[in-house]
Amino acid sequence: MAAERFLPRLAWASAPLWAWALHFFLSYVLVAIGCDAGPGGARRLDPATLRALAVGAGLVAWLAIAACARGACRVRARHAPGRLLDAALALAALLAAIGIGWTLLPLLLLPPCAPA
Amino acid sequence: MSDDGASERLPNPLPRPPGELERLAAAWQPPRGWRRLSAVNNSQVGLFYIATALGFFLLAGVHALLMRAQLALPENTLLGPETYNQVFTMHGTVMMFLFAVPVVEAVAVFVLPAMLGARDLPFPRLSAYAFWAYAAGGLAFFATIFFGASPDGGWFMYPPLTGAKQSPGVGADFWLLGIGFIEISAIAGAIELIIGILMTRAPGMTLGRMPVYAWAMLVVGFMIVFAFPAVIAGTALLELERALDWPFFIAERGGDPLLWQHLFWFFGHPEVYIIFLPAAGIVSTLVPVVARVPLAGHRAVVAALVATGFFSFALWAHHMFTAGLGVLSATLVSAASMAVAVPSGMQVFAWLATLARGRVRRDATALFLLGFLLLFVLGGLTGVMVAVLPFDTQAHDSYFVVAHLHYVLIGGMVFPLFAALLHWLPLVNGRRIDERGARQAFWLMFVGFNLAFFPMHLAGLEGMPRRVYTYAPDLGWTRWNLLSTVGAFAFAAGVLRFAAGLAAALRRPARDAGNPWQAPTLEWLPLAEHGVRSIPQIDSRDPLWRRPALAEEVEAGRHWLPGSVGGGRETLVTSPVGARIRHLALLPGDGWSPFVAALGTAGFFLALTVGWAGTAAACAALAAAAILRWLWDCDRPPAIEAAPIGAGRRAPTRVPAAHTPAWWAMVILLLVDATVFASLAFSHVHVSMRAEVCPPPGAALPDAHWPLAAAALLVASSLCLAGARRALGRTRRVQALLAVGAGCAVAAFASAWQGHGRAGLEPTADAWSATVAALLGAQGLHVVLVALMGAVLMLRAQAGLLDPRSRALPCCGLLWHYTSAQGVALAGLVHGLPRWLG
Repeated sequence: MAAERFLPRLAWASAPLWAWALHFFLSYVLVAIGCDAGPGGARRLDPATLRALAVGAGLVAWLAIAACARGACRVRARHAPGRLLDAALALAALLAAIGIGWTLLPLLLLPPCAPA
Repeated sequence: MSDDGASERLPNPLPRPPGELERLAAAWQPPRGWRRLSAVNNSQVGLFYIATALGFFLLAGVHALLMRAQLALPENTLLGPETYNQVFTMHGTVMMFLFAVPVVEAVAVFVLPAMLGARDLPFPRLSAYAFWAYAAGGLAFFATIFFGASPDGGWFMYPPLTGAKQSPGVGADFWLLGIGFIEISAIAGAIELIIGILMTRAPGMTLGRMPVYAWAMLVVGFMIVFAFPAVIAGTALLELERALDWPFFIAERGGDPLLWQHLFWFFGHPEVYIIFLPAAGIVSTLVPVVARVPLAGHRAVVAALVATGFFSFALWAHHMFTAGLGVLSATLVSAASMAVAVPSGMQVFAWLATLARGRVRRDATALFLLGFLLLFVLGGLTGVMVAVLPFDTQAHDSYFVVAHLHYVLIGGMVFPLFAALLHWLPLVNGRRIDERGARQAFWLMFVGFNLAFFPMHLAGLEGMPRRVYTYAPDLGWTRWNLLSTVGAFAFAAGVLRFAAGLAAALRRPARDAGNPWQAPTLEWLPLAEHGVRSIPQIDSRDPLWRRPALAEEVEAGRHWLPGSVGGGRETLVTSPVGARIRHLALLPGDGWSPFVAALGTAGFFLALTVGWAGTAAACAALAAAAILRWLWDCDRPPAIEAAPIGAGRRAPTRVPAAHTPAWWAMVILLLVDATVFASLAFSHVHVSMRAEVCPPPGAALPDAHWPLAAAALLVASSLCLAGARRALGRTRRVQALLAVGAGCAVAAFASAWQGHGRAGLEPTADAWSATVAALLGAQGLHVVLVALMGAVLMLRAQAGLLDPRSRALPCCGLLWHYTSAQGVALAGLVHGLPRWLG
C-alpha cells in the first residue's frame, strides 16, 4: 500500500468530509462542555464565546474545504480529468460544505444553552 | 484494448499445459456430505450464510405475524403482555442482528470474490468462523423464546428497564451476551470485506473501475469497524452492571441511563446505513443491467456513498430528541439528519436517470427495483419529518415511527435483496426463479407491505403508541390495525411465494449459467469451484460490455494465474489504488478449526449467560485451542519463493509484512479495538462530568508513582518487542526479549491495579469507580492477550517458524504496541480528567 501512497490519497480524497466531521464533533462537544455546570454551578463557557468558537470553526472548515476543492479541480484540469479520487473529492467538498452550512444554522439562530 | 490486438498481448499463450486445469480444480475441490461443515471457501460459506440469514428472516416474520394477529382487534387475548413483550423484542432483535446485518455481509462474501475477479477473499477461515459463530449462537438465542427466557426490553434494551432490578431473569443476559456473536461475526466479516476489496481485485481494476457494489461494501466495512465497538462497549457495561452490580446506568449511584442511549445509538443509527448502503450498492449494480446502459453519475454515486457513511455517524441522537438533551445539541443532530438526505437523494436521481436513458427490461427484478425506489423515497421523506424536532416530539414512540422504519428497512433493504436473489441465483446452479412466480410474489409483497405499514402512519398520528399489546375499542385505531394485519399476511404470502420459487429453482439440476442478464460485471464470467479459470486483466468499468471476448479468454486460461502453481489454493494480491500485481497469496484449504472455534465461542457465551462457569471455561478452552491450531498453520515458509503467473512475470509468495493482507487486517482490528476503548473512555468522561466533584466522595486517585511506573513498564515492554524483532534469527535472544517484554506488560498492569486497589477502588460504590474498573479490565484483557501472544511467538521461535521474513512477529507487534499505548492513555485519562474538571 505504501508505494501508491494509499493512505495519503485516501485522506486527501475524504478531507472535506473529515472537516465536516471535525466541525460537527467540535460543535457538539463545545455545547456539551460549555453548557455543563462546572465547580460552583457556573457554566464552563459563556454562551457568546461558545457560539463564536463553533461558528469560527465552521468558517475555518469551509475555507479548508474550498481549498481542497480548488486543489482537486486544478489537478483534474492539469492531469487526469477522469480520475475518480479527484472527482470524488470535489463532490465530497460540495456535500461537506452543505453539511457544515446546516450545522451553522442552529449555531447562529438558537440560544446555545437553552434547556430541552 | 481492441479484441484483436489485445489477444496477442494476453499474459498466457495457448495451448495450456495438459493437466493444468485438473490440478487447479483438485486444489479447490469442496468437501462432500457432512464434511461440508469444514468448508473454508467464501463461495461455499457465503451460501450457508445467506440461507441461514433468510431462515432467520422467516422466523422473525412469524413473530411479526403473531403481533399483527394480536393487534388485529382491540382487547385481543391471543398473546399475554409478557409474551407480547418477548415477541416484539425478539422480532426487532432477530431482524436487525440475525437477519439484516448478516445477510448483507453474506451476499457480499458470496458475490464479491467473483465480482472482483479473485479466486477467493484473503481470509476464508475468518469468514467460516464468523458464519458458524453466528449460526450456532443465533439459533440458541432464537430458541430462548420456547423456554420463556427471551429478552423483553425492546430491541434497543434501554436501562433501567433492562437493569437487574427491573429485568431480573436471564432474558436480558441472553440479549447482551447473545449479541456478542453478531458483533464478532460482523467485525470479522468487515475485515474480510475491506481487505478483500482493497487487495484482491483483478489486475487493472483500479478504484475508478471498481464496481459500485464493491464501493458500497467498502464503505459499509469501515462503518462496521467504527459503529459496532460502541455497542460492544455498551453491552459489556450493561452486563457488568447486571452481573456485578457496577452502576454505570443507575442514576442514584452516579450512573446515567442516557449513557446507554448514546452508546447504543452511536451504533444503532449507522447500522441503518450499514443495512441500506449494501442495498444501494445492489441497486446501483442491477439498475444498469435492467436498463441496459451504464450507471449515470458513477462518480457522484461513489461520493454519495462515502458521504452517507460519514454523515450517518452524526445521527445517533436523532433517536434521543425527547430524552432531555439541550435544544441546540438536538438541533445539531436534526441538521445532520437533513444533511444525510442530500447524498441519499443524489443516488436516487442517479438511478432514475439511468432508468430514464435506458431501455428498461420489464421483469420481476425490475419490479422489485422500482418498488424499492418508491418505498425508500417514502421512508426517506418520513425520515426528514421525524428529523424535525417539534414533529418528532409528537410522533416519538408512536406507530408513525414504526411505519417510517419499516418503509426504510423493508423498502430500502428487503426489496433490493429480493431483486439481488433473482439476479444472482443463476450463480448458484445456473437456474432462475420462475418469472411468473416472482411477479406474483412482488405484487403480494408490494400491496401487502403498503397495506400493512401505510395505515400505521395514521394510527401513529392518531396517538397509538408502539409496543402496546392491546388497545381499547373506543380509541379509533381498530380499522387501521385490521388493515395492517391483512396487509402483513398478504406480505407474508408474497414472501412464501418467493421462497417456493427459490426452492424450486435450487432443486433443479445444475447447468452452465452463462450470462443470462447480459450483465457487465465479472461475476458473470464462467465460474467453477476455483472461481475463474484465469484471473482477468481489466481495462474498463464494465468489462463484459466493453470486451465481449473476455469470458472466452478467461475460460481458455489466457489471463493471469491459469493454474495452481504450488498445488494449493492461491489468489493474486494487487495494490489498493491501481490494482497492480503485488504477490501471490497462499490460501488455506478446508479444515475443522474455524467450525470448532466458533462452536467453542458460542458455547462460552451461552454457558456464561446461564451461569455454567465450568462449561463456559471448557468452551473457552476449546475455542482457544482451535484458534491456536489455526494460527499455528499460518505464516509457514512457502515451498516456492516466486510463482510464474503469465507474461513472463513471477509473483513473489513472500513479501514484507507491511505488504500482506494479514498486517492490514491487524491494523483494522486495532481500529476496532481503539474505538471500543474510546467508547469506554467516553463513558468515563460522561459519568465524571455528571459527578458534583471528580472523583466522587468515597473514591480517590492512586498516588502518582503507580501510573508513572505502569507507563514506564509499558514503554519497556514495547522496547523489548522492538528488540525481539531486530533479533529475529537468534532464537534464544528473541525468546528472552519476548519473555521480558510480556513480563513488563503484566507488571505494568499489576502496578496500575495495585495503585487503584490501595486508593480504595470499589466498582460497586459509584459509576465513576465502575468506569475506572471497566477501563482497567479492558487493559487487563489486552495484557492477557500480549502474554499469550508472547508464549505462542516463543514456541514458534523454538519450532523454527519465526524467521526475519515471517509476518507473525510484526503483526502481533502491532497489538503489543497498541496495548502499551492504550495503557498509557488510560493512565493519562483517569489521572488527567479530574484535574481538568477542577
